[in-house]
Amino acid sequence: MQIKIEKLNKVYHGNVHALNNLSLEIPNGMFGLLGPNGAGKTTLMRILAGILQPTDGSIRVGEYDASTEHGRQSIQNILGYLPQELGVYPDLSAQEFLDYVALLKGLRDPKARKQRVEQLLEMVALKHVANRKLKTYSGGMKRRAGIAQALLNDPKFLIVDEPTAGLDPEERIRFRNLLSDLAGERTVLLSTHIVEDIAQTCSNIAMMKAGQNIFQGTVFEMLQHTQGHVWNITTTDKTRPEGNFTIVSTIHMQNSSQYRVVGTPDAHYQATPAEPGLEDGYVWFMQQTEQQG
Amino acid sequence: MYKLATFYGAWKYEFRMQVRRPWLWITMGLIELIMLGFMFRTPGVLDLVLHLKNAPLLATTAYWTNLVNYLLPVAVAIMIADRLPRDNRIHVQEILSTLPGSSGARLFGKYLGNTFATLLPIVIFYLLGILVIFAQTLNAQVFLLAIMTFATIVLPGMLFVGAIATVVPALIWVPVFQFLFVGYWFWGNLYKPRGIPTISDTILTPAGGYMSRGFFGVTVFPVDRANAFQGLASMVLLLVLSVLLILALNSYQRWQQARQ
Repeated sequence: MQIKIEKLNKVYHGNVHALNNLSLEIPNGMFGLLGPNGAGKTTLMRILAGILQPTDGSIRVGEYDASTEHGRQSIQNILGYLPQELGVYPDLSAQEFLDYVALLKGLRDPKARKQRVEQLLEMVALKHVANRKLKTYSGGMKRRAGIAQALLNDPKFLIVDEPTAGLDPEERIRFRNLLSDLAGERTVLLSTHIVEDIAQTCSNIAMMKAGQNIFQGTVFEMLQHTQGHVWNITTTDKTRPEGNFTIVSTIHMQNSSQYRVVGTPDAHYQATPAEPGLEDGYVWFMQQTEQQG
Repeated sequence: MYKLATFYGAWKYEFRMQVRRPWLWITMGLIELIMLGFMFRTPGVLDLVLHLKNAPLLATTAYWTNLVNYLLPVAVAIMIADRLPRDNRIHVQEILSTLPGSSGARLFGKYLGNTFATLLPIVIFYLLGILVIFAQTLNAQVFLLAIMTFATIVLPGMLFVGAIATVVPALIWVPVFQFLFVGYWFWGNLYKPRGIPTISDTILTPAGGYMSRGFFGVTVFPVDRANAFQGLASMVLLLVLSVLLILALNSYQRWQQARQ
């Protein structure tokens, strides 16, 4: 399913421009949306989920036009949504919560509904605690219950907003693997500011800043753009190198310090080129837009 | 059919969540104890209870139904008031607003599920009283009368109170609503008109005075005279207003959503 966003604007009260003429094409599979806090990612997710109305611009999700009431309703029928701030009813068990959402999603047949709920609980590894109240769940378990509720209607379009925020590394890995497994059959839009999550799961990405799309392409294309802008600098004194670059990591050794920088260091630093990673690419693009802006 | 599934889902799980709240049972239990305390401190009541078989069964049942409706609607309003704002507070609303089911059906399910769950401790308390009447009179007709009086005196008013407690907290802060509702209950339902204007003697009162006086000839509420037609009018008015209130809330929520 292809999602096409054209010249999308969202202006909040007080003339706050959350999205500025945003255009984006999201192909089938796993798609990563990167950007700093306040870039407009959540606003975009919420517009796509039908929670917010755009100020202007157009959105097409497959054959449906999101600017019409009928289109929005049709999109909601094929949509699964896991919000950034996931809310659950604490007094319900996971099984009850999923059954409730399934009913609201129109799964009327009790037998089929029960089967679907059990299948998803198994998939997210919560079957053994399905009858425990959600208030007793850890953050990671709640997130997994959240992804299960999003999948109840077998959505063609799945939106997950900052799904791994606040999870421990083990839970994050488990969650990322789960998302990758899901992407085969549908379009999964993953929004995050954790670069590592995108690096491990998405081949197509977009980067947002100040409500605008500053890059769209494959991870490979992004790395190509960044090639030649990532360097290692080694210093023997304790002073931090300064210049037209951003230090992305620092390793202090016994007699020297090694800095990984993105940008254009002065020649006297005798910097050696390094292979860029996605995080370097992210920093490079952010740096470029800052300099342009 | 889709609307029905949405309504059923909301009804089922709102009922379940409300009925599991310990505070529901504690609040209702305390108010019921206070009511019983007041009743039995009133001279002659204990003697009356012990000699119920000499009293007319219909009047006895209707009186008991009136007493149940005296203070408990206040607790009903207080316990329902936070249910709708809670969806926002615990961030469930964000998921709910992305679901394809009808928001109106969900709202009606929520309203009725919560109201009936909140009524459950009242029904149990009421049935205990009916069992006492049965034990004293050994007349099984009391159960039929109990259903009739409860359905006509208590239910319409409680549905109205449930609707008010669902709708108004969407507009004002929950504790403010709860405080105002207590004042409204005493002023608009229990206060006998004596100088200060009140609506306690109009068919708008959800205390059930018109139905009780009009259908069964007795009431503890300040309704001195009412016929069956006025009782029916009060009942229909309360039910229609309840539906209209929920429909208005649904329109308001949709308008709010469209503005976001």
